[in-house]
Order: sequence, then structure tokens, then C-alpha cells
Amino acid sequence: MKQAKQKQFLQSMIGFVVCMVLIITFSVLIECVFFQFPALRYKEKPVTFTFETEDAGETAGGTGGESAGEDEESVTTKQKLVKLTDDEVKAIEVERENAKLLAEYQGKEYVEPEDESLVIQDGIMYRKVYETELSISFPSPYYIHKLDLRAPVSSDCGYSVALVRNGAVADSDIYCSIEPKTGAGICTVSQLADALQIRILSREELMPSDITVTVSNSFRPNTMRMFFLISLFSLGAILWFFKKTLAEKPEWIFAIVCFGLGMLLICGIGTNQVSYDEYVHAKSAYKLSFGTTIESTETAIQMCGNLLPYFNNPEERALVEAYEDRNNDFSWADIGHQSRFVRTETRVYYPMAIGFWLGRTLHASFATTVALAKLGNLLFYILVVFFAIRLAKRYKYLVALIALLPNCVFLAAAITYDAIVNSFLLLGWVLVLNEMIEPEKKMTWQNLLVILFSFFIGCQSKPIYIVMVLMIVFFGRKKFENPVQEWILKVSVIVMAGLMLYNIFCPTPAAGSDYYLVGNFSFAGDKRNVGTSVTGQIQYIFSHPAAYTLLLLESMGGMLWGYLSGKANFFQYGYMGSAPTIFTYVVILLAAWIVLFAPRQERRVGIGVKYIVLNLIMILGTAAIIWTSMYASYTPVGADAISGVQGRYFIPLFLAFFSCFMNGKLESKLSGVGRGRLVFAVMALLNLYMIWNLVIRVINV
Amino acid sequence: MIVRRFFADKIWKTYVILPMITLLCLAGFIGSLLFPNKVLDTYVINMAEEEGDTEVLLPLSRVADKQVAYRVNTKTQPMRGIQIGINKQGREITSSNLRYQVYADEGIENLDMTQILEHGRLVSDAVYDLALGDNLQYVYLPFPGYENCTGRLVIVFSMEPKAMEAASEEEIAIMANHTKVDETQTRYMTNKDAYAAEDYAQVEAVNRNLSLKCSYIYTHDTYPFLYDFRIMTFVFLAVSMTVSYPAVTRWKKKRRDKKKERRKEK
Repeated sequence: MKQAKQKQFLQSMIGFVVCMVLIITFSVLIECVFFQFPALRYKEKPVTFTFETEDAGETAGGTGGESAGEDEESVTTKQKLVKLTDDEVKAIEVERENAKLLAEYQGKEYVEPEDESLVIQDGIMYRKVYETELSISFPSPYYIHKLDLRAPVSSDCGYSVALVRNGAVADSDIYCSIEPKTGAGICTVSQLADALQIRILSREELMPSDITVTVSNSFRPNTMRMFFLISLFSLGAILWFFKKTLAEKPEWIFAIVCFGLGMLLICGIGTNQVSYDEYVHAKSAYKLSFGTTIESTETAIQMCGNLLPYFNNPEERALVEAYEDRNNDFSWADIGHQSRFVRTETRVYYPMAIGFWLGRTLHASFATTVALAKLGNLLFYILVVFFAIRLAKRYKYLVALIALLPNCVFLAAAITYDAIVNSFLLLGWVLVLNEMIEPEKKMTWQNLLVILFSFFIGCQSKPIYIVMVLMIVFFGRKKFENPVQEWILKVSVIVMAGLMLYNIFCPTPAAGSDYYLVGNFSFAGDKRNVGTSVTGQIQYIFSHPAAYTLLLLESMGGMLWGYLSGKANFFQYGYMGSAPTIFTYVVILLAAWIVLFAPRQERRVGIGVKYIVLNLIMILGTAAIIWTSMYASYTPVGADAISGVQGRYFIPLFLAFFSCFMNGKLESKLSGVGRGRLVFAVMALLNLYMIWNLVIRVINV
Repeated sequence: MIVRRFFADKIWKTYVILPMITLLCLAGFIGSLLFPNKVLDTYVINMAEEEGDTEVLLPLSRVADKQVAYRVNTKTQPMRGIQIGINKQGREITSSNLRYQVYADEGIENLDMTQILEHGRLVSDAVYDLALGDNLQYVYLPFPGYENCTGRLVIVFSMEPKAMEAASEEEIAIMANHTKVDETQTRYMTNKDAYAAEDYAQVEAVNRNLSLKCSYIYTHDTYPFLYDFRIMTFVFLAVSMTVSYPAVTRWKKKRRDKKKERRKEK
């Protein structure tokens, strides 16, 4: 029997290994033959163009280039006004407001800085810029895959490219920015052209002789695309080969799938800071990776200030990573100090801090160090959710579905504490739900300890969610030893939750450095928005209770309607973008189907009307607290809209919401394996779709 | 003996260990409250020049009676010390100390020594050995008896020889600039009689918008483990309420038995 099992296992492993070899070969072939087809068809050599100044005037021109042959180039420069975008205007306003606050805090007089490049005409803000126009023509049509423009600039600037074919402009929608730190802007064109017209907009006047343009169409297999294809095909192989694991231990399938998706995100995004306020989290995690003496290299300082250069393709990525490594020299690092005691809300950064420490210890490149920090977060997320799925009774796939939501996977693969929040609250609520399903069974000390610890850790940085733990207070008498112990237990849970909420308003000074700010509520308010003040906003709410209640209900309903009607997309990969609303429907339907229909062989029970009502009250209450907290901290005082609330804040409430629909009446014909395949396939494909569209195609091609 | 019995009796059970952990957490909570961690906190007040401003060096010497007075308001917080910039200007200082005296301001109008001595109450007096440290550095000058250094204070910096008989002519400079800092005043004090009227006018000109380059040092009580212990106390109290206590079970059994007996008697 044992031998037969071993033989079966060996056979399936051999099958899987052979399948993986085939998958890798197939993926490499697709990349080299299909995606690199233009490079094989149009065997173009790279051509570099340089420009020479004819005279001291504005117009310049010339011919040149390493292998330009008979190519022709010309260059002209002129000044023009460009209207600032709303974001740019807001950034200027926020910067001025914060400088004013800082001056006030330091007891200095605020003097508004003068920027000569800014012009206000008819109430609209413009910036004076220089427009340099480059014209390049080829002796014969050239298939341009990459266009590499180098120019030494000291501030952000960009260029647009118009492709000329058969004497007419064929495409003028190609835009690219030039990163001042690398002095390069490389864009993907992938089109044939007879000539090019390039318009560079810059704040400073560019010398034509400093500009070089290189066009190329080289055979260069894309490793990220191959990794993506291997992951895609491997997913199919895993769901096909691991039937038994899928039915009995879905937590292992979750771990493999989530690890694959997370690694794709980590490798694909690199050091681009695209997660929500990633620089703030990176700063905390980086500092935590040191003891009391912090060594901040120039690159680390830029990471903590959201100033790292951004890349848009593998060629730019190589330049950015080289720049980061050049400036990641600890021999001239800035030295700072911090308390040896870590603040409560900072402890959630340990998984990322270990990654930063490991990268430093191994003398890894900066990009690898950042990847290790993200990997620490991902592994920790997987570990906690692994146990959440394992401990879940009869609704493991629903837990896996929530844990594989694109927002959750993205946050797990980024530098942020949200992965800890989501995973621990999921684990905590799984155990609470287990208790609700079995109202007659006595609560064990192990279960309660894990529940309370999960909520304690999950709410370290976002204490608002601690109200979820109060569901224990409504557990029936049969779950406890005797009425006295029951009451002591319930009062203890209430006090624990109360103390965590109390810490929001009166934080315990744990370290000395921010004592004044911690102890001074009048400075509270998010400094990314102009006009915020927690005390001012709370006073406003109390003086206009009816108006605020109406605003709250309108905002909550508005957001829900926005996500369901397609006005906003729920599934987001941070600042990279989102997936269409159709996917929101698909996932909602899938989750509803999982909770409503049980497989035939599985005996299911609901949680009862009492818990359904309490769950809904808890969900509404928590949602209202989340909205109110953002109104108090992030929204200008007295504003008629609540700013800053994002759909991802409600993810910890999803399991509680869907558990309201659990019942034992409806059955589905699909077996456990089939259900598992469906859930993992849909969630993985949704993530892969988003990775392909937002990560691979946008910054890795 | 007790330890052996403790393990031999197998009372190492959840109904013992969980309440014990609860009590330990409670002890930790009380301990954290009673024994806070004192930390020094640096408040950077004026350490860099604004655009267009230049650093001013204020020479201190005992011979010419050149001193610097600095007025500050700490409001309710006791000031633990001050960090100021000292420039030895390449000289080797061997026989002088920097003396810094803190006076409680009880109605000082103009910052001059006569007014300070008349309307000020000396609350702290200490010296810093100028032989220590580099040519140019920001030194931390702690105030002995800092508990009294609260509210409106005037700090006077002066040079003094290490030995009473040594007539030191050594000179150092402390750093200042013209950054406006609210609720502070810096004054360079010299002996007016040692100058001609025109030269003294130049000294007075230095005093316009003068601001000492410094950081304030305060101490705070911090409670690094208070938050954890107080939460953990209630976590373990709740958890210890899920176990069955033998004493309670025995008491319940006794009560049941008694009830049965009563019923039988009836």
C-alpha cells in the first residue's frame, strides 16, 4: 500500500517535472519567435544621431551619428508657455502649505518662495518651458523598436515623437519623459518610419550638441515576459496535477499561487514606488532594519523621500538600477539615531526590515535589497493566510478568494503594512467565524488567544478595525464555562478594544524623538492635504451632526454605487492602474456562489440570524468609523465630501459580509476539486491579466 | 522543594499558567508606569542660515569681559541643557572653561549683566572644559539642577580660567546668525568702558537681529512597554477565563450535592 502510494507520488512528480520542462521550453520559444519576430524580420543595426550647433542663435542643425550614413537631422529651439495640470497645481499648493506649517512649528516667519518659471494668466497657472524640435530622416524605412534620447537636464522634462511614413505623419502619440538623474528617456516605438520629428519640452535651454538620439531594433528576449508565460502555464499544470492537494489542502495551492503572483509583481515593479505612500512605509522599514544608529545612503534617502527615478522599460531600468547602486555607498552615508525601543505601530514593518537588513548584510544591489524587503512582506502574508485557510471550517475557498484579491496580492508584494493588517484580520475573523458556526461548542483558550493576538497585531497600525473583535461579546452563554467567567472575559475584550482605540487619541510615548508631536493633538491631520485639522474637524462634526450624518451616508452609498456601476474600479494595483468593473462582478458572483452553494458531500450550516444581524451592524459601524477617521484626518475642515477613502480599506470586512449568506440548503454539483480549480483559476487569471496589462506591458517591454 | 513539588503535582496546567501570565502582564503594566524610561530629546531651534544670511562668530574672552546672553521661554517644560556651536578658531585652549549660568527671568528688561544680576535668580551654574572637543563642534551643555530651569530663562555664556591664579587670555567664539526665532533674544555683552564710542557702536550693530545657533535639550518620560503590557493584561485575563478551574468545579459539585441532599431531606 505504502509502496503503491510512493510510486503514485513519484509518477506524478515525474509528470510535473516533465511538464515544467516543456512549459519553460515553450515559453522561451514563444518569446524568441513570436515576441521577437520584428527583430528577426527587420535586422536593423542601432543608429546614433548627434546634433551640432550652427550658430549662437536659436536655430541649430547638422548631420552626424556613428553610423548615420546619409541620415539627415535638424534642430530648432523656442520658448513657450505650458498649462500646469491640476495635480501639479495641487502639489505646489501642498508644498507651500507645509512650508508654512513648518515655519509656524519652528517659530519662524514664512516667506513665500518666488518661482520665475511660473506665470499666472487669467487665473490659470502656466510654466515657461523651452521647446527643442529635432528632425531626423532615414535613407530607407527603419523599423524602430527602441528610441533612446539622452540629454543632460536638471529638472523633469519630456518629449513627444511623431513618426513620418511616406511623407505623412503616421503616429504622433508617442510620449516619453527624460529622467534628470539618468539623463535618458527611452521609449518603445515598434513601428516602421522614414523620418522622426521629436519635440523636447524642458525647463532649461538644451544645447543641441548635448543631445543624442539612438534608434535600435535588437534581438533581446524579455526575461519578465518569459517569467510571466512560465507562471501562466505553470498555474495550469498545478491545477491539473495537484488534484488531491487542491481538495484537501488548498492552503498549499494558495501559497504556491500567491508566491508566484507576488514574485511576478516584485520582479516586474522593481524599485518603482507605485504602492500607496510606499515611500513612507519604506522609510519606517528601512529605519527599523538598523539598531539605534541609522545609516542612510543617498539612494535610501531618495527612496524615503519618494525621489527615486522611475523606469518605464528594461533599458531604463538598467540605467536606474545603475544610478541607485552608484549612490548606495555606505562610506558617505548620512548618520542618524533612533530610540532602541520601537514604537507600537512601527513593529508591523519587521518582515520588510528583515529584507532590508539581509540585503545589506549580503552586500546585494539596491534593487535586490528592495526586492528582499518586499519578499519578506510577501512570505509573511502567505504564512499567516496559509494558517487562516487551514483553520477555516467549510469555507476555505472563500478565504483563499479574499486573500487572492488583486489588491491584497499587490499589497503583499509591496512595502506597506497593509499586508499584515489584511492577513491577521483575515486569520482573526476566520477563527471568530469558526466559533459562530459552532455556537454550542465551548471556546478553547488556544482559539481565543490566537483570535485576540491576530486582532492585536492586525490592528497595531490601523486600530480602527479592533471593533471587529467585539463580536465575541455577543457569543452565547454555552460557549463559556460559567456566567462569572463569561462576564470577565467579555469585559476584558471590551477593555482591550477600548485601550487600542484610546491609543489613537492619547498615544503612549514609546520613544522620545516625536514626543512633542505625539503629545500635541493640534498638529494632527494629514499633511498631504491643505486645510486638515483633526480637532477642527471633530468640532465641526459635533456642531453639525445632522449634516455630517447625511454626508456620511451619501459618501458610503456613493462609493458602493461607484464600484458597482463602473464609475470606479475596485481591483487596483496601487498607482499602476485597475481592472475593469466586469471583473468585480465576476469575483462577487464567484464569492456568492461559494457561500450559497455547498458541494453535495459537505454538510454546511449557516451562522444564524442573530449573527447575521450583528455582522451587518458591525460592518456598517466599522465602515462608518473608517469614513469618519478619513474625514477627521485627511479632509479639509468642513468640506462637503470625504476624501481619501479607498475600497481596499473594506477588504477586512469581506469575510464577515459573505459569511452572512452561508447556508446548508443549497447544493452544487461541482466537486471540491472543481470548486478549488474554479476559484484558484479565476483569481490567478485575474491577477495575471492585471500583471500583464499594468506591469509587463507598461514598464517591462 | 517547592519547585519539585510544583512539577511533581502536575499543577503546571493552563488554569495556573494563564492566570500567572495575566499577573505577570499586570506586574509589567504597573512596572512600566512606575519606572519610565527617561530620554533626551533634541529640539533643533536654529542650526542653519537662511538664504542670504551668514554665520556670525561671537568671541568670548575673560580679559575683555565679552559674554553672550540668551533669553528663552521653555513654558512648562524643564530644560535639560542646550547645544551650542563652539569655534576655537584653530587655537589650542588648555587653561579655560566655558561657564554657562542659567537665571530664572524675574523681570529682566534689557539683557545686560546688571539687569540679569538684579532681576534674575541663578538656577543652574556649570562649566565646560574647552580643552575637550574639536576645533569646531556643537557641544551639549547639561544644566545641573535642571528641574528648576523652567519658564522664562536667561543663559549667560562666559569664559573663565581653570585655576584662579591663571590670567588666561584665551579666546573662543560661539556661533550665531540672523534667523528670526520667536520668544528668544540673543545679546552680545561687552564692557562698554573698554571701547571708544565709535567702536562700541560697531559692537552694538552686531546685536541687531542676532540669534544664537542652538538646539534645546529636554528630557521626557517614555513608556516603551506600557501599551503592550496593558493590552496583554486584558488579553490573558480574557484567555484565562476560557479554562475550567478545578476549585470552581469542586465548589459547583459541592453545591449540587448539597441541593440533592436538601431535596432528599425534603
